[in-house]
Amino acid sequence: MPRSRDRSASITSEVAAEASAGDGVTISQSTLLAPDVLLCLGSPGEKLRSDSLHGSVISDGVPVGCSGYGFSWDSPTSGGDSCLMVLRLAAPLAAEARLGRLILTTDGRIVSDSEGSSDLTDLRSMMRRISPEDQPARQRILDFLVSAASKAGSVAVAQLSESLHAAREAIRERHVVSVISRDVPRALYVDSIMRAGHDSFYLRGWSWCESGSPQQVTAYSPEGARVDLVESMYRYPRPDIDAFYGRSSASGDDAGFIAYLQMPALSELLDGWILEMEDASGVIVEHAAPAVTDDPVAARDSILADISHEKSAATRSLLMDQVYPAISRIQTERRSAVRAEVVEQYGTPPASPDVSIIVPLYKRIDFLEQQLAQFVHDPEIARSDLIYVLDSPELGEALLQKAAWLYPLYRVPFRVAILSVNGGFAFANNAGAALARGRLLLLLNSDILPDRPGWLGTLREVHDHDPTIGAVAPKLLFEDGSLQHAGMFFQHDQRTRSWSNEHYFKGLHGSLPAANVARQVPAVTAACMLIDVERYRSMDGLRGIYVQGDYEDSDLCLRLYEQGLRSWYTPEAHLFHLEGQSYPSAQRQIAGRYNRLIHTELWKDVIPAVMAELDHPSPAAFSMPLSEARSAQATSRPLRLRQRPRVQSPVVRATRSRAPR
Amino acid sequence: MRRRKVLYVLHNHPKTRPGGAEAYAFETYLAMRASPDWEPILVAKGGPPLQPIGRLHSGTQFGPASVDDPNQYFCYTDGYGYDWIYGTTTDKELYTKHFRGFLDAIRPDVVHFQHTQFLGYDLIREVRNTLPHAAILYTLHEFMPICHRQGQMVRTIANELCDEESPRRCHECFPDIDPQTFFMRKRFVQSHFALVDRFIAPSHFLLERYVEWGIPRDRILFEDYGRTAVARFASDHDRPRDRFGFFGQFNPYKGADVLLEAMKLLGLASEGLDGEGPVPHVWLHGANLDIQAGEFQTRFRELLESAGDNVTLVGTYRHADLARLMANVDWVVVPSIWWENSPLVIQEAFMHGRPVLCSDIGGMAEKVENGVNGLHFAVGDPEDLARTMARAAGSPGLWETLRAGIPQIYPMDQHVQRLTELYGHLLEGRDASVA
Repeated sequence: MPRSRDRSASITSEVAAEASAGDGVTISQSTLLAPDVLLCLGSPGEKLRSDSLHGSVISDGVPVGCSGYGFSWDSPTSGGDSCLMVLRLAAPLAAEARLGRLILTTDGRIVSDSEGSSDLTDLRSMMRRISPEDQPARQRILDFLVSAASKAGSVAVAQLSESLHAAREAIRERHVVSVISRDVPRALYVDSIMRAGHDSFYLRGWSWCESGSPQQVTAYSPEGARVDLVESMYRYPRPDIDAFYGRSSASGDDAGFIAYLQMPALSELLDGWILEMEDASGVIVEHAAPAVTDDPVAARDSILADISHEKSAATRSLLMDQVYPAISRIQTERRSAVRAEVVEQYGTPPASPDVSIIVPLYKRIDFLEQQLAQFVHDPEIARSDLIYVLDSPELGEALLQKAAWLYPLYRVPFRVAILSVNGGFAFANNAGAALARGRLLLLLNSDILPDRPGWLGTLREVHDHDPTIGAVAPKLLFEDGSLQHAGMFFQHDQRTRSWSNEHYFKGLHGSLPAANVARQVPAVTAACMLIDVERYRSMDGLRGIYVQGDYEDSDLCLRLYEQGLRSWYTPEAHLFHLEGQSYPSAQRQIAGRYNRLIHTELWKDVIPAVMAELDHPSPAAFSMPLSEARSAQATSRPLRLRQRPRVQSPVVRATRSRAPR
Repeated sequence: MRRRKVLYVLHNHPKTRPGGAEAYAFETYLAMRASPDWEPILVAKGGPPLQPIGRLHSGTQFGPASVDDPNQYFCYTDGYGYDWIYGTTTDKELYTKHFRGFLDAIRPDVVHFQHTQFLGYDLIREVRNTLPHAAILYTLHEFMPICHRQGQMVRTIANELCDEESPRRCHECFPDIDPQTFFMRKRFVQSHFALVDRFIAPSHFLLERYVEWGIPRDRILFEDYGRTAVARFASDHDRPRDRFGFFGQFNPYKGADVLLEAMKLLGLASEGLDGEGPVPHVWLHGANLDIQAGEFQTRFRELLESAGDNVTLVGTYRHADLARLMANVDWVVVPSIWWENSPLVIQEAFMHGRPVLCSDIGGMAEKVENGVNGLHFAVGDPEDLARTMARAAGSPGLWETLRAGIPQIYPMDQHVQRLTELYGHLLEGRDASVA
């Protein structure tokens, strides 16, 4: 019967064939891939019809439920059809278990009712029975094994992976190992491979083919899952490789490559990745990749540094096709693991708080004491639902201890939520928002200290005064009294073709008239932002695609803008923001560049409109008394005083009628 | 009517290690015991680093400081971490458990802080929490709340005098501590200072500094240290007035090295004069050279060497011997290179009829009137000090004139009277505000 032999066919190619009850599968050998995953080899009889099987197997006289997948092929070596079944067992079996009768059904029909009684064999013996098959059949068998095992799952994933790896090694086709030499006209090398998710990876390496572009580059996971890269990989120049060979390849391809891999099955093992390359002349070489970098933070930082290899700022295909999917996946995997593991209440919670204050703590848990030492003077805080969210789980014990010490001293009620893993700024805020009891949500950084009471009430009044306000943020000052935040805008950089987030009047004196005008701005900071809690939740809060707390706030503000809601800056409230204490700056720079580019790609169609509508110079800016500003800072960063004739929106008019303080 | 209770909180007991603030606070405590209306209780921080051993009994951080006096306690802080930047005990249990228990047992009407070093500024908050009706006072002895450099307001940069703190300037002095931390430090201290009913400044100079720093003027008042009168050692017979004394710690802030440099200059000058004219002699009384930085110790010893026979290093002295030691000299030199507050050594010199030569800054210049009861010289300037010493020793009649200008020392009984009036006044105000 016809059967596809195409290597590029779908990874799992279970057989659909005629079947009839009573003339079913005969099992010749069984082995355990894991204590709860049984692999059976036999003949399919009247063909195995479906990939989905259910039934039970008698083990040492006791029936054990099972379900799984089957696959059969025309086997010239056994002179007929053979089949494999991967069955997940409801209970684990011992290695010395004796198997009895196996009953399997599909779509309610019995496909197998084999009266057997046999010992389990070992995987190696079973694979020896398969190894004489031809290469395409063995490849399809491997495809089936990894796919079926991945779907079946196991309580012993590591053991299952080891078994799959052993099976792959037993029956895979072996090729010439790639050699790096000027005399060899082809070479393949993997510099590093990093985990992005359970089934996704990020690969960095190079290849060199004298005969032209490679026809195939295929990555095999240790468990045997495979994916072709030649179409999807990003190629970039590697002058070191070109210099080594003393010439570039005939095709003119860049030697270096970066590839985000979405594998068809989970991969657990760190060792055992193989890459294969078929060059233009049809010669295939293989190369064993180094161990997978499993640490998400190390992987993230390494991947982020690759942005510098982008060849075209117009397409940004490295960023958008390789880096962004990998980073997003790393962040998503984290989010799936983030939950508030411990929530501890200190003091009596306020009866019906209007505002929930969410303060993420990252590393610097000493800020808790500093904030409480200021909050203690503010009755509005005591009436609020104050929630500290610890995003450094390793400091959980220390924070709980600190909180237990500090509450009796300051008597400001608060909660501490400890996240199970470090999830980043967005997830920490969102986890806090999920616990919020208030009507309004105040996102507050831990390094913000109020100057005097009253600011929270002011923010609330401003927010509630106008239903078109989506988010409101106050004036924030550095420790020397200069401006840290008076609203944010977007600035286009021609060289990097990107929009960066900038702060109005940053570093100028806090009394600068232009900074003391309440107005709608393109965006406001999430360091201290008041927003309706239901609105925040309905928008799924801050987006976790950015790395290390940066562009989440403007992203939120732009999403509000799309809903017709305004980001409002109010100088009537002011606090101190001791910005920049939480991260080392080099790391932040790399993350910042990534965030800027992603933010640009996501919002490049909206930002110009926002800027055209909202980035107006405040009237007071024209008469700014420079003498009042810190003169050095004022001169080092010129004010953005662009005048452009255009129709004023009602919002702007309302703002301008306001006298600067 | 029962005597009301005032609790004095000290960072150290003078019996453990001598120090000006400790000596004054302890004298005040002793004088207050005679009050018919007020019963004083004293609690001093005990244990390391100032005491070699810490608490003796498990289950309590407190212990008696005197066998005979049931009102003197140590509060041992061993086992608790102390944050030197913020001035706080990191384990708040010291406050919320142990000090709370102590305060509940004593129930003082007034808590008068003499110092919070080693204990923490947030101890003030614990007092307010546990004793909402108590009046809280805080005597400021130096600039510790303002300045991380041991409260001296002398910059780490070439020992420049500092007259303005800011996060940036403090970060300049301590590059390893970021300006944001200094910003938070100030606000942390002020958060707790907000609970103090009245600050006491023993000098006008210091009072103004703290007002500039942020203490509201209506919550701080000037009140000098009162001193218990002591008998003079009667030996003021006629003699050349060329004997100078230094009384104080041998550390970089007290300026003993400036005095030694001046003596070196005077020695060189006298060689040229071929033995003519008076050559002043200096007696150095003090301690703690051993705990100074090696660089300072080396310099001090070198200067001592080069000053030759005209300098006598007396070393540590007992307070009981002070009258005799003062009588041995004619002039007391106070060459501090920091601002000082209300130096006890000036009071002591005046008590014993010794005019003072002092640096022309801060609390020293305030307490000593130039040409009336002493002479000023340019701070940190050995040449000017040498000139001034030569003038003092070589001007017949000057010593007698300046000695006649020495004012009456503020007597302790008047000081205690003022304090008790203040306590009563503050309590009335608190009762009104809490009720």
